[in-house]
Amino acid sequence: MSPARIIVRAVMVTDGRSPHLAAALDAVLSQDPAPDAVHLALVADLDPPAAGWDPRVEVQRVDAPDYGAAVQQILDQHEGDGSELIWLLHDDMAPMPGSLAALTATARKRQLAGVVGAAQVQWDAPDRLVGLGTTTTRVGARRIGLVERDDVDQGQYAERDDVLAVSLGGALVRRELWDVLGAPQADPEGWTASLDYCRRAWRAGFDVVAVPHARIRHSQERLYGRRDGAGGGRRATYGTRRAAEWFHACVYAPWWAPPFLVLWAILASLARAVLRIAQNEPRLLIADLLVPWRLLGLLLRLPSARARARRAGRSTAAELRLLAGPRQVARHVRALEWGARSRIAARQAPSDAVRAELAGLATRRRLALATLALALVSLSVSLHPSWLPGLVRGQMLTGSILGVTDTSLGVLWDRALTGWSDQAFGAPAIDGGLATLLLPFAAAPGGLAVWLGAFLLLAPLLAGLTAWAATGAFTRSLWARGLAAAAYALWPIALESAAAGRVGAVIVHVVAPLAVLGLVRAGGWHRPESLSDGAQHPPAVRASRSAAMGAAAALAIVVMASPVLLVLVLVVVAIAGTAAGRARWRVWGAALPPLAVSGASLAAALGTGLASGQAWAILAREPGPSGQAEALSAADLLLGGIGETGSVPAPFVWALRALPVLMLAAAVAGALVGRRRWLSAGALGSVAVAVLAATAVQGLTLSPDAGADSPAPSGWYGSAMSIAALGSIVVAAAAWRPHAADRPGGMRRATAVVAIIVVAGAAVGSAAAQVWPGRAALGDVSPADADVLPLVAALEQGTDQRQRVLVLDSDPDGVVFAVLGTDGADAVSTAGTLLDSGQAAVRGPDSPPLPGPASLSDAVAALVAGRDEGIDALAQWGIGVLVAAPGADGIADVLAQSPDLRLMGAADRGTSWRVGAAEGDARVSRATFVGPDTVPVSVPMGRTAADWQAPAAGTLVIAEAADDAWTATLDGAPLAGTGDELGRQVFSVPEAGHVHVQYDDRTYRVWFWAGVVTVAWSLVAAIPVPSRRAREEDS
Amino acid sequence: MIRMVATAVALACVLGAATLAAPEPGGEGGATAVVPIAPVRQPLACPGPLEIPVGAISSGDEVLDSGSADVTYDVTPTGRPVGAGVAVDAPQAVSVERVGTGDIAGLAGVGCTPPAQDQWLVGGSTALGASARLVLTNPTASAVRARVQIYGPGGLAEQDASVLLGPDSQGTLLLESIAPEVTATAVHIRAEGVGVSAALQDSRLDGFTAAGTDWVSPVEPATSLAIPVAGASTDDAPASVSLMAPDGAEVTLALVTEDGPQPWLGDEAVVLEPGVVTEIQVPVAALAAIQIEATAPVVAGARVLVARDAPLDDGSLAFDHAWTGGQDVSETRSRALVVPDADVTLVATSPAGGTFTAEIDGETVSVDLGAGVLASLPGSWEPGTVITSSHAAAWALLVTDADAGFITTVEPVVTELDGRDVTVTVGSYPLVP
Repeated sequence: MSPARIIVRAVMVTDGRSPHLAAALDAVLSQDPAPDAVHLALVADLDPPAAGWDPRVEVQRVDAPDYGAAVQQILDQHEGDGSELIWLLHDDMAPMPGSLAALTATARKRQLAGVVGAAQVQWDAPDRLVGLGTTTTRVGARRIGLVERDDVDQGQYAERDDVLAVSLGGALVRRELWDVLGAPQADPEGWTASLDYCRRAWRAGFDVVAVPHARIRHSQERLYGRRDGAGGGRRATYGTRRAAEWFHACVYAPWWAPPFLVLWAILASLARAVLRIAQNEPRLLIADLLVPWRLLGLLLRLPSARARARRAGRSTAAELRLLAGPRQVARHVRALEWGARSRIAARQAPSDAVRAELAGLATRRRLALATLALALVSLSVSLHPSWLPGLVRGQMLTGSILGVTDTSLGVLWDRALTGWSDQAFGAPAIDGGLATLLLPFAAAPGGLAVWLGAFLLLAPLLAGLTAWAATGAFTRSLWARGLAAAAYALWPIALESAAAGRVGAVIVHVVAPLAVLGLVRAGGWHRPESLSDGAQHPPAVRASRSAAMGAAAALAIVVMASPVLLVLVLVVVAIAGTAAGRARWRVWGAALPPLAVSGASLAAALGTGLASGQAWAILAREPGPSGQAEALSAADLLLGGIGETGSVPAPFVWALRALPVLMLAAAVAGALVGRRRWLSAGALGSVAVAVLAATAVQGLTLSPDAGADSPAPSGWYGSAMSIAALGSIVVAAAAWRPHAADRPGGMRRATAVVAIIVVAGAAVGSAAAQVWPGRAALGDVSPADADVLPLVAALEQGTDQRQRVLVLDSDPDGVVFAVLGTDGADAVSTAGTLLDSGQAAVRGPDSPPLPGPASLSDAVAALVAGRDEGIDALAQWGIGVLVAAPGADGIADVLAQSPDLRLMGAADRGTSWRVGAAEGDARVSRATFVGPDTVPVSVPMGRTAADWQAPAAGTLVIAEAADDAWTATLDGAPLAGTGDELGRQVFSVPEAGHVHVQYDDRTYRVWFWAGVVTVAWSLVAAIPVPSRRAREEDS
Repeated sequence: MIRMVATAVALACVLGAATLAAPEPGGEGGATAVVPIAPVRQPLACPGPLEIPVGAISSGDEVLDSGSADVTYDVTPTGRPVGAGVAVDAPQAVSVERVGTGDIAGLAGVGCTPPAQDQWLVGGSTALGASARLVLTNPTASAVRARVQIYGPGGLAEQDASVLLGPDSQGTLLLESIAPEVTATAVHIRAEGVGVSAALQDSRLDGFTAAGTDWVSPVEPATSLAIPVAGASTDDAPASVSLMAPDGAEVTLALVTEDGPQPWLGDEAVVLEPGVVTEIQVPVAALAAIQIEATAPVVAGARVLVARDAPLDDGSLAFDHAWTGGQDVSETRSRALVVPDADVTLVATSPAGGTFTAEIDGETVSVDLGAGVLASLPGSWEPGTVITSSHAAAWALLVTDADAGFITTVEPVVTELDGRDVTVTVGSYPLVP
């Protein structure tokens, strides 16, 4: 080693695909002092430039698979001293004048420096830093640049010297070190090669030093994917870089850690996948999902890589000190995120005057919103004064249409997952219906009763808030927004839906404005804030990816809650997409989740044939509570369907009736004077279609909530009319000019002020009429204790026998009875499952009709006539308890006379009698086994599954409607199942063994999960966390 | 331009949609089945002997004693005891009791009735000096709960009663203990399942003098009915008619005798308030019947008084009375009664007239009925003779003991077994009231 004279051998490797090769060579040759030798290694055949290669360059064709091997070949042919410095150069990097001098000066000063790296700067903007040393975490799975990307070089890093790693490109490597470590490893694809090489250098006893003054322009051809012509940008190489980082972590981890690191990589990739969904970055999502697989593919090379690292030496204190700690990682991430954000903010920063005005506007907006919310909270609570106290007391809301609402999470989950509906004697469902939507309510502390009750109670508030949000996309006038939101919240049909417990229509009323908001923002049609000088902020509105996905999720929820709106949704999305220009695919994509959740029903509807009329009943089915209602004409519907008002003072009644008229008038006026004519036309078209649907649907007979044979509802117009109301306020709001009421003078201002006063007056009067104490009840929902049946009866339902309860009540025409598998009639989990001739819709019109309680009519009639000849018929369907409803004293008297019934108890909830034995194998049971001694034996069963040890050959009878999806296995071998003469599911068990019975509807599950995944995907993707790239592109 | 057209088209679509009429509403009720229930013949129940309302007072003086040694009590045909009453396994039976002296001196006859689920007893009083003793008999093997509601001139009494009857048992209820001071009662008895047999003993006392005792038999509400025995009515012993419409009605009354229609003093048309028992005095007439036309179902009964010299021989009068219920004159089901061992007269009337035919001991007997006439047929039939008729008329057997001044009536009982239709509907049950 001679300290006086250091030989510098520059080696540039090219494959000829860099456009900067000539510039790079020039830059090297023009260094002062110039390198002692300059080699150009051609790894591909390359024609010399027209003027020929510079004579100072020693051009050599090498046959090497990668950069390190090419350099090695050059070095192999040119012996050198250990003190020789090898200048590793790429064909896309051009050292700036003085770089080599700075590097060699440092190399001379730092005798132990094995690698002396330069600062890399942007090719086109040499004052912007690309890299100046890198480090990694203790684990090693994240590479951290030591400068912020694109940072302006102001000398802030001038003091930097020892770093964990530098980029080998442009770095001087002492030949001595090169001989020890060999060439840098190209696998895995080089991204961590520099890091790996430098760490090994540290371990081999050398230092790695960065020289901030030595600056090298680097166009990063490979990083941006330009070298292979793909031009995919940084994201194109994201997956391979991430995999390489994980591989690096495995190399430098303790011997036992790699399996855990692989596991960690898998979990991290899943977590990042969720983030990518939220960011709407499908390419990065796929890249992230592929990272663990790439890593697994690299693992074959792990032993050799670990051996190389081990050979280099043990990790030193210096190396450990240079690893990034958690704080540094956090700073790095923050710099990445906030850097992108603040760059955009800086670009868009409005003037101070504008900022002050915006702040003022925001204050007024918040004030208006708070006022509106307060008014709507008061309205919500006063509309049903008994609801809030009832809910606070722990009661549930219930009503003749709503049914019981304290359905447990387990039942809802099983119902949603299996598709077996508990109504009547059971039925295969088309889809999860409301059960899926209500799962989050049931999962929250307090359960479904509390949250569904709160939802119904606060429906006007929620609808007002969502309408406020939606109208904000069309007008920035607080008066217009507030009044439109109030009118929407006071929409009489929606209030009736809530009062009657029509959950689906209420969900539509609350969620539909969000869908509109999403669609409008997805198309970039929303109004920016308008300032007093006529300018707008932000100056240009942009289409939003997250909003499109939010619209998709909202539309899916709307369609799940009210399937009849599917056609309307598809039409609206199709038209909106056509008008969305570049964002069209994004907008059209919003139709996918609604289609996915409707897939099963579309298949069922097509299966029945669209001409049959049955198909329409399927498409217009009402999941959850439904009931009969008086049919109204379209005009009545547009006027809010206001019927009897009760003893409300006349002025308030006028206001009540005037508000829907004013909404319509505002819409018509808006359509005539507004300037956004396409929007008005589209919204009005939706109103027309919605009114058409609302009117037509009343004529349909839908699937009964309580299952086969029970009363069938007619279609409810509520959800479609909510769309009509929404369309009206959209047209009116879109036509409202900003500051119409603020500008002094003129007819326009006078008109605006009068309009505001009239609509506000009508809204206040309408609210007063709705909460007036003498107002005729809109529905019969009221709070009640959650236990509907007598406790003794409900307890029997919960045992392994899962006995059904037959409830008898008297009415003027005779006897009404219901078969209940749950404590009270559960309508929230039902989902329009039957055709009007009694078949399961999902099994088609050619399947046999499902058995229903009507088959028990004779038995029930005999019972109430004082005979007990029907008891067996009840037991065959698993009915173990008879309950005479409170007030049905006559029926209770008759049942008391039956010697075959045993009184279980009399309570406020009714009087209960037991059918069959009280205990032992002879109990009435949902599942029974008839063995060789022909005496039915009770078999324990869950809601849709049973596991049980058959003692001998015999017949297993499940007292549920027979269906092909009921499956059973005996010690794993499938059993043949069929329906018996009553329509029950029976399995013939050939011998003793373990029997497993399950309802297993695969088609249902496929559709169910398809729906869940698409809706969950769109919900996650609706979270507004744009990726850095998206933010930068948008700005 | 095209945007204007689009707006116009959209507005036109909204207007067009707004003209749609309401469709025929969809939906249908739950599956309903009308299930016929085959009838089962249950034993008839006779209420048993009369009881002295305030208990027997024995002084040794036959005139002052409330009880009597001169009592004959016959049930034809005979049966087995159920409590104090008798259950008879026959389509028809009669119970007649003659008490010669004491507080309840008189004749009291009643046709034994099968258990029924819904029945009315029109008659009785719980005013001072009167006692209304309701006898409920369950001749079946099932336990039965009977619910009793009492109506009076003031409408439905506040209190009602519920009586649980075990198999083959009897229960009695003194109505004055539930609704005292009701001058004219109508009792509604409901019992689900097999039902219950009911009869009401109406005993009245005027100081120490008997003022009449009889059994009140069940009646059914009807809009066109007749009371076959509603007279004689005299100034000394005026007959009266009690009317009650559960839901209110306007009724027109017509008095008919063997000589034809008689004028009704005062207004023939009476408005009955819902649930209010209206008592109307019958004009003076000989043996008479009352025909009633009503706008809504009513129940009716007539009380006929027979005067005799009081046993104290102080010139005052003692009475016996007979309650006869109003019968649906459109009733064409076969009805029958059994002739007791006494002087009997068959009386019949029908607003439609025609020929009344009855099977008596296997022979067909015909009596011409004028439209406004009461036909009577004195008979000397053997005790135990069964009189059967399915003619649409009101008819009864007037039983008298002229020497003693006693009177009672025996009304026919439907012998056809009624099949019942039970309407059963599948419904939903979400609510607790």
